Formats: sequence, structure tokens, C-alpha cells
Amino acid sequence: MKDDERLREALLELETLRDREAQRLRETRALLAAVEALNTSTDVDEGLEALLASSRASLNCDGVVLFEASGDDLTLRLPASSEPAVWTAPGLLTRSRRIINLQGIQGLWQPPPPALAAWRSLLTVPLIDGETRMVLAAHDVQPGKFTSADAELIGRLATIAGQAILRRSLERRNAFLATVIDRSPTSVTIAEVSDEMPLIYLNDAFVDLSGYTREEMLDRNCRFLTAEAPDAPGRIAIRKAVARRGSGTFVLRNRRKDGTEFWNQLQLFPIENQDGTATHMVATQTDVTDRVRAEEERDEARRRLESALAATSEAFLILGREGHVRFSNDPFQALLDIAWLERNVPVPHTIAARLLDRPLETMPERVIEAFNEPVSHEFTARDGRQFLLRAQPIPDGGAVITASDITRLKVNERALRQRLAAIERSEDGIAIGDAEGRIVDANPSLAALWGIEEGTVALGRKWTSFYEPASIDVTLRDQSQYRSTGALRGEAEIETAAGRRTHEVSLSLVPDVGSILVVRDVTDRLHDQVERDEMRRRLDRGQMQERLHQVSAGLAHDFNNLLSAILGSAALLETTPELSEAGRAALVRIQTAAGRAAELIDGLLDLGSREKSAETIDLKKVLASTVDLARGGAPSSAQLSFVAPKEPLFLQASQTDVLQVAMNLVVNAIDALGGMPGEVRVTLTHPATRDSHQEPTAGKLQAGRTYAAIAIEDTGTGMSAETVARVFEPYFTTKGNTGTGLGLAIVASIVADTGGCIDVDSAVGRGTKITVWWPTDLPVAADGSTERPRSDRTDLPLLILDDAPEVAAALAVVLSEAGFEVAETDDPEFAIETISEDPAGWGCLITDYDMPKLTGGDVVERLSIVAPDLPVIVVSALARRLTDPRLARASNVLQKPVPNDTLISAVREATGGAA
Amino acid sequence: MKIDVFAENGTDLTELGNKFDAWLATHDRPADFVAIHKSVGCRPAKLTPRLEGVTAVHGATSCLGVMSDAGPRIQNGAGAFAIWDDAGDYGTAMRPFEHDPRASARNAVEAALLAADRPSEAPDLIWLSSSPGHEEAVLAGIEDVVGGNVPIMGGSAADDTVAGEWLVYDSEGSASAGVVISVLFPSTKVSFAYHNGYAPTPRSGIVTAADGRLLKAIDDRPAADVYREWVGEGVIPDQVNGTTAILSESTLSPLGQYLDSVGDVPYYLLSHPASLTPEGHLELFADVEAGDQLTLMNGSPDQLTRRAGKVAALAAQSGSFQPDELAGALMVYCGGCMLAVRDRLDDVTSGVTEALPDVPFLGIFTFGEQGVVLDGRNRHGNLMISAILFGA
Repeated sequence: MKDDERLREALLELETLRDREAQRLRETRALLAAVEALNTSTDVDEGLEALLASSRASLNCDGVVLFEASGDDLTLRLPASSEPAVWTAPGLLTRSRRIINLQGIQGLWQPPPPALAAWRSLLTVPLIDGETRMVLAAHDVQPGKFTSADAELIGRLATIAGQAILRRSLERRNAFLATVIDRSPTSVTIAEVSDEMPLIYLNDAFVDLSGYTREEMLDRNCRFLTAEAPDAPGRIAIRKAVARRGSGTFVLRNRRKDGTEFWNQLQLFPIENQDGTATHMVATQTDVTDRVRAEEERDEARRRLESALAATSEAFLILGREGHVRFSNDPFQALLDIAWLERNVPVPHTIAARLLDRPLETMPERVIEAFNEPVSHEFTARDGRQFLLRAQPIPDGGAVITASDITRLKVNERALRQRLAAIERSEDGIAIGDAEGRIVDANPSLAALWGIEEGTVALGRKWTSFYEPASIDVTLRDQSQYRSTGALRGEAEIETAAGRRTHEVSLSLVPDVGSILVVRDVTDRLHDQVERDEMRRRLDRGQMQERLHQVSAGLAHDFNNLLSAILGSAALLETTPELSEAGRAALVRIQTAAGRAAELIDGLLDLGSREKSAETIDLKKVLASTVDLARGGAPSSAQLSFVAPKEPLFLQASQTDVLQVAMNLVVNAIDALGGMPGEVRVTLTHPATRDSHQEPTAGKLQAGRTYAAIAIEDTGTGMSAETVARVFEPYFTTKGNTGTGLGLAIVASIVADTGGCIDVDSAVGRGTKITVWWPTDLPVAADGSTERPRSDRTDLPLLILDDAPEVAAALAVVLSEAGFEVAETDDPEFAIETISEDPAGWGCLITDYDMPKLTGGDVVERLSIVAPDLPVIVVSALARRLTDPRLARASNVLQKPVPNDTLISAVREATGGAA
Repeated sequence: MKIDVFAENGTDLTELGNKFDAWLATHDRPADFVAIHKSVGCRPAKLTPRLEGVTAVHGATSCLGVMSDAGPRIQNGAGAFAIWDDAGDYGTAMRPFEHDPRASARNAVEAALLAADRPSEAPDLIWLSSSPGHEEAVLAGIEDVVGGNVPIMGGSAADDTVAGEWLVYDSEGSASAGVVISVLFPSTKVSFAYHNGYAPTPRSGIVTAADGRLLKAIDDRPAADVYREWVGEGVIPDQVNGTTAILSESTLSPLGQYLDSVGDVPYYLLSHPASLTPEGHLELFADVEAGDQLTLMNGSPDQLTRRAGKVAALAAQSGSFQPDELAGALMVYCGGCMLAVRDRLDDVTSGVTEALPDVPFLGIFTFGEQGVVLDGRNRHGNLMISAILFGA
């Protein structure tokens, strides 16, 4: 680098530094002048005036002034000699400004007042300290007068001016405060820090409070006021505070000069010098007697409240503004299991979470919300109880939190809801009426029952208005009974779109509610009841007839057998030559009487003859009715059920027969339960096929016919095999004196007569299942066995079969006399076996029908297989009642007692001889 | 107060725009003031529309490009100097020259003050960009409004080949002949320096005939003859048929107008001879008047290279700034000087970063520089270098 260039650069740098130093020198001089101006002045205002003058000189301008702001108005304050001027220029308060020419702001700002009209350049700095707002301004008539250095300088001058203004403010403030303290209604005392702590200042209010004169109190320790013992806690506390030159608030009992006591709230604080050493103790003192008494009363009220709350079962918690527990009673602590919860202990947020006994992230916020607005929340405790938690803000910023056990309430509420739902969905119409009987509320079913629109149509009307007046039972009109018993029940009829319906109406008077009306449509039930009554009537009649039939048949059977023996014997005697006339006359009387007896017996048979009128019945419906009837008489421990195909099962049968069969079996099944809980199930199956190869317990299935199976099962005691074998015998009963022994005999008889059979499946302890196989088609016509060509059996012996040996003997005598060779037996199996051995060796079989092991029908059926050509004559005491279709194969069926000639003719005809 | 600088080469204008966007996106709010300077190859439309929300957008073309603390960017270079200053006020206005450049400047500065919401107040600094030709009138127009106590710093808009393609612009529009003025009321201190890197020679004379920037005669002799004699034979043509550019030939030999002396050392404001006329006149880049004393100045590439850093250091010294007290800086570097030391621009920027370590700065290359000279007045000169520093 050339020396010349280095020189030029060095000079330039020097020049720059010189300029900079010159600027600083100027600033320093100006600031020194300003400080000197302030410090050499006797008061602040005078100092400020001097500062403005020195600033004007430093800035080399026309003037420097101080504005004081009030709102947007700037009032020219200093120099005091200035012409008064107020300028609305808020822009000068917001920032420092270097205005080139005030004329340039015309139209943008308010123009300066006339006193300032000559100003062009303006340099301003706002001085804002609290409420004091002033503007230091330099001005000049020359536009663009001020440089940025001037702006920087006035900024520094403003700092000094600001401190002076602040000092002035402080002086004024101190004077003001002194006046305030002197005249303050609050007592103020100042004691000098020393061993005795004498009072050096006290204000008028303290004189008034104590009753002493100022002179009496100055230079004394203020303890002369106290009414407390030296060792009272308050005095000890204040002594400690004074000893450590500390501060604090104390409430002490003091005594005035006149001896009256008052509560004095004393606030103590030290005044320290620059070294931090306390030089004085200041005390403000306030008579708080009224407040202390109010607090005592409040504490007493709180104690009473706490006693009351402690006794309540409702959990109760009071929180202070900061979340401190002010009060909590035992139920609350028990609820939360927070026995450690003590007063004035801040409640951690976790407690809020425990309030609900479950993870509740939001709960702290909810509790916090309680400090602002009420919060209500239900929760379930760990033990299942339900609680209603309510948090309510209280005026002092805290909150009251209560938790009520609402478990019972919720249960009742749930039950009530269930009841309401039940009422709403009940098929019965239910309404509430007022004292006048007018409907005030009703469920939907009632409107449906009355055929009206659901809702308000029924409201306000009396229930009676919906029924035909004449159809309302008189019992429903008995107001005296209603008043005395509070309940009425009866029926009434109503005409609806569905036809005429009968309603059962019940009225109940419920205190505090009104009258409860319950309406039920019983039309179908009544109709069913009529049908059931008719069935029961027919059943009863049928059973009575059947019993008569059984008794008369039994009598006729036995009498006819006796008469057969008598008449047979009489006929034998008649053939005796040596019989005297008198003997013959007696014989004739015997025969006449016996014949008359036979006629009487025949007439007796008519007494119990069963109705056999077949009709078209729905077997399913009859069985269902039977179960319903039986259920009415069954103990509640017996569960009756009926299972059947969906479709009805129509067939030709006597409804009375079906009823008797089913009712006897169902009643027996119920009886088999022995009063113990059990089940009786009736099952109808159609078509049904009997797969068992065992002989039915009663009756027989007829080939080619279709059957329905009626199964009656019970879970009762069951029967032994011996009992099962005899169960259908007449007069056999397991019920002792309560049974007739005829029920199942009738059942077997009816079923056998229809061409059906009965299976009994039972074992002791396993229950019983009785299956009735009931034909559902018409009987098959018997083939015409009489059409078969007959061989001549005139010379062949006859076989007489009768379980009554005397009858067989009588018949044998008659036929022997007529020239026949005769053999006798009382055992059907033996007879069949004998004939089977030589079917062609016998001329004819004369057999009884009612025998213990096999009936005459059975014998006919079996012989039709082993000896189809053998003529069979059935001689029965109940021949008129025989309906066994198998007897169509028999050559003849004769009524006991059979006249001798009739018997002989029948045998001759059967064996191929002349009749 | 926060300052950030963007400087990139913009051969691909779309890519340049994307980079500018990315730079803007690094700031959470629009700046209070943005000065954009770039070569004529990069049209204003590429950058200024992206500055929505910026109170003051100041723009002017710069010769070839810009330089910054990241180095020179003179291939379609573009740069932006942005200030975020909540407590400060900034306003910009551009006015095309119509009949009276001085009136345009007056108009522009008033509008800028109004835009800053500081009408009739003296800003701490005025940043000026004018199209070449009427800078003296522009300075006068500005001082008509703000007086002579407001520093005016800036540089004339430039193009790459002195073909008159320069532009000045603001957010409203652009003009090839006009002035854009920004008034700056920053909340922090500002300092500046405005110097050149030339030394006087013993050759000097008095202007005896001149017309604005047309220097007709020195010491009653044709100006071209005197100048040719001063610089020596062969530097400029002996005779020309038409007006002939001598800009590059005269870069190291400008004419100086005496300004002031520091001690016994004189200082000069430079005028750069731009062309030679057949009449033997010299066309300058600055006005001269009859009676002015002109001195032949002498510069060297070394001086021009070092000078930028020296000026920056001088500005810091002037403001008593330590580098860590600075938020950023603007540098104005004569375009002619830049062309003379084009190959050493890295050294130029290094000089500045040495003087202002870790301070972001944007340097522009201008055809005429304005600043405050030693006597405190705002002046227009050629081949000058200036630096403006903003406190943090």
C-alpha cells in the first residue's frame, strides 16, 4: 500500500473518531449542564426550569419546553414564563419524534395553538412514569433544524428530566401520604426500635380508639393498652415478632382508658434503614370487636352444623377455595376410605378420582368445575351401592360436595320403570281415574279394548260411558261396597268393530292415587268356559252312565248265569217221569219265575246303556279341553302340558267316549304324582304306527286301520308289573276307598269297543306312560264267515266253554237230552288247544263271552285261524251289549238265560242238522 | 431488530423464485422492509409479487448482480435485504421522472414518509435508488422535504452494459427513469461511511465550460484534450467520429472535485468520464460546473479491492459498533469499480466479512453513489463505496 493511501485512510479514521468524540463531548457537556442545573436549584421545578435552559443552549435551538399531558391534551407547563398553551397532539405521547416542519403536519394533526405557531422544527421525547405523562420538546423556527444527534441528546436529557420529575412526584407523594396517615380512620402508631420501644408517633384515629391523649401515650410502650395476661398466646406472639423485628398480624384483647375492652387487630411491620437494620416498628390497629364476635357466632354455627352433618347419613365434604378440606363427615370418609383426610390438608386430585371409585381421568376437572358451576354425577361404589355426587360452588370460592346413597331409590326407580313398562305393554286395559271416576291416564291396551284412538280420547270420560248401561253388572254399581271395601269386580259388555265383547272390569281404590281401573276381555274365556262346562257335563253323565252300565252289566252277567243254571236244571227236571204233579207245578212256577227274572235282568241292561252316537270331533281340541279341565282340579305342583300337531284331527267318534278315556287317564296320572311336584304330559301323534310286538295291555289293533296315538306320561310313582297286569280289571283299584275300580275298566272297554288298544309302560319309581291307540277311520266290515260252506257236523261232539261251571253243566244237560255228545270246560286256552288238536273232530263250540282270560271274541278270532270251519255259538249274559265286531264270525250269539229249544235249534243249525 | 439477506445467482429464474420462496418461508411473518437489488436479467416480476404483506419494498437493478456475506452473485445475481423491526417504521415510494426529477424525488419522499406513518418527520436514514442522470436533482428534491440533516445513502440503478436497461421499482410498479426512496426509522442505531479508493494526482484544472454532466473545457481547453494529456497518450482515442464510450478506460483515472481537507490532506468527490464526443467534450456520470476544480485521480485494482472492507470498518468505527452489536449491513459499490476488479470480487467480499464478521450484508453495484461526504452534506459521486450498518 502506498504511504499516501495509508495516510489518507489513517486521517479518515482519525476524522471519524474525532467526529464521534466531538459528538460525545457535546452530549457530555449538555448532560453535565443539565445535572448541574438540577442540583443547584432549591426545588425541583426550579431545577427543571434550569435544565430546560441548559438544554436549549446544548441543542442550539429556540427553546426547550415541558408539556404535561391530560388525556390527549398537552399543556405547556415549563418554562413557567411561557405563554399558556394547550395543544391536542396525542402523537407526541406515543414516541420520540423529530419533526422537520410543523407546517407539514397540517391536515394530519391538530395545528399548534397560536402561542406555538412560529414553531417549525420540533424534537420531542415522551416522559411517562405511571400516571405522570409529560413531553420534553425542543423547537426552532428553522425547518429541519434538528439532527439525529440532537435527537439522541434530547433523549438523554429527557432521562435526567424524568428523574427530576419523579423526585418531584415522590416529594408530593410523601407529603400526601403523611396527610393520609394523619387523617386515616385506621389507627397508626410508630415505635422507635429500642429496649422499651417507645411510641414516637400516633395518629388521631389511635387517640380516638384508645381514649388516651397523645401526650399520655407518646414515649411509652403501648403495652398499657392490653387486657391480656402476659402469658397469653397473642402477647407472646407479638413479643416474638417485635424481638426479631418481624412483621405479622395479631388480634389482641385491649382496654381503653375508660376500661371498656375491645378486640384490636394489630398489623406490625418494621421500617429498615439502608443497612437493612430495623429502626422503627409501625403498627396499624383496627377495632375488630364486631368481626371477632361474628366469627365466634359463625364458629358456633359451624359447630352446630358440623354436629348436624356428622349425624346425617349423607356423605358431606366442604372444600375451600384452594381445594382444602374444610369439613368432611364420617359417612364421606367411610365412602372414600380416606380416614386420613384431615381439615386444611389440600385435596390432591387423586381424591377426586377416588370419588367415583373408578378410573376417572376427567374427574379432577369436574371437581374443579364445581368451583365455578354445579356438577352432578352418579356413580357406583365398589360394593355395588349407587351414589349421587353433587358439587356446588359456594360464594367464598370453595365447593360443597355431597354423596347420597341412592341405591334404594335406583332400585325403586327401576321397579317403577318395570311396572310402568308392564302396564304399558299389558294386554289388560289399565287406567287411573279421579275421584269422580273420570279417566286421567290410560295405557294403550285400554284404548284398543274400547275400540277408540289411543291418547286423549278417553281422558276425562267416565269408564261406564264406554259400556252399554244395561250390560254393566250391578256389582259394579255398588258404590257402598266400593267405599267400604275399596274394590269392585264385574262384567260389562261393549259393541266393538270386532263384535260384541264381554269385559271383566275391576275397580280398586288406591289412597293418594285414585281409582285403578283394570279391564280384561273375557269374551273368549267365557266362550271356552261354556264349552268346557258342556264337556264336563257330558263327561260326568257319561261316567255315571258307564258306572251304571258296568254295575248293571255285572249284575246281569251274574244273574243270567244263575238263571241259566236254574232254568237248565228246571228243564232237566221236567224230563223226569216220576215227577209229581205238585212237583211239576212247582217246576212250572220255577221256570215262570226264572223267566220273569230273566226279563227283569234284560230290562236292567237298558239302564246303563252307553250313548254310542258317533259324531265328527276334533280329537286335538277334545284332548286340549280335557287337559284344561284336568288342570283346573290339579294341585299347583303338577305341571300339565299338551303337545299336538298344528292341524286339527277330525274323526268320527263319541266325544263322551274320548273325554272319558282321556280324563280318566289324565286324572290317574295326576293322582300318580301323589301331590309331589311333577309333570303330566299329553301327546297326540297322528298318524301313528305301533311298532311293539308285545300284546297290548288292553284291546287289540285291527289290521288295515289307521290310528292316532294318545300318550299320557307322568313322572309319578309308577306301577309294578303285577299292578299293570290287573289295572284294567273292573273293581281293581290302587286308590283304596277313594277309587271305584271302574275308571280304567271303562277306559279299556271303550277303547276295545272302538277297535283300539292300550299300552302301559310303567315301573316303580320311573313313572308311567299309557298310550291309547285310537282308530281314526271307520271300522272294517267283517268278512261274511256265514257265507262259508258248512260241513255236516251233526254227529260230532259239542264243546261247552263257560267260566261258570254250573252254567256249563246246565247247558250240557239240555244238549245231552237233545241227543248231543257234550264236553265242558271253563278254560278258554284249554278249549282252543283241544280244538286245535283236532279241528274236524268237534261239531260246535258253545262259549261264554265274559271270561277272565279271554273273551268270547278272542276265542272266535283265534279259532278262525286254527279251525276256520268250526261253528261257534256265543252265549252271553250281556249279549245285547256286545259290540265286538269279531263276533260276526260266530254262528250265533244267544242271550243268557237261553231257552232250551232256542239253544238246541241254534246248535242243530250250526252243526248242519235241521233246526 | 432482525436482518436477513438473500443472495443467489438467477440463471434459472424459476429456480431463483423457488429459492426466494424457500428463504421467505424461513421467517414466520412478512418483513417490515425489503430492499431487492438484482441484475437486469432478472425481472422484478419474479420476486416482488412474493412480498405480500411487506410494508416497504424497495427495488433497483444492480450491475451484473450483487454480493453478500456468502460471496459475489454476478451471474444474473439477485439479492434481498430484509428488516424485521416491530418498534421501527419504514416506508417506500417510487416515482417515475416526468419533467422534473427534483419534484419526483420530493413527491416520492413525502409518499414514503406517509407510508411509514411518519409524515413530516426526519427519518434516521434515507435509502435511495435513482436511475442515472439526475441524481443531484433527486438529492435536492429529497432535502426540500427533510432538510439537509438527514443522511441519504444509496446508489444509482445499473444495468450490465450501460445500455439503459436499468429499472427502479417498488411494490406498485417500476420505471426505467425514476427514483425509489425508502425512509428508515429503525429502532436501533445506524451508522455509515461513504468514501472512494482513489488518490489525487498533481494534475488539475478549473472547469471553464460545462453543461450539467457535459464537461466541455478545462482551463479553456477542450476537456478531452486536457484529460488525454493527463492520462497519457494511448489511453483514450485521439479523435472520434461519434460519441465513444471510455468508461472502462477511465475507471482507474476519474476526475475528482475537491471536497474538504483533513489536516492538510484534500479529499475529493469523483466524476467518472463515461464517453468522448467528437467535439472534444467528456460526458461524466456526475454534474460539474464552471469554476469547479478538477483533479485527475488515480486508482488501482488493489485499492478498489481493499476499499470495501475499509469503508465497512470505518462505518463500524463511526457508530462505535462491535461486530456482535450489528444486525446487518448494506454496501454500495461502484459498478465501474466492480467491473475493474471483477475477478477479485471474492476478495472484496472477504474484506467486508473481515470487517464485519458474522454480519449479514448485501452489496449492490451501482452507476453513481450517493452519501454523506466529509462536510456532512449529501452528495452524488462516482466510483464511490459506502457502507450502512444497522445495530442489533
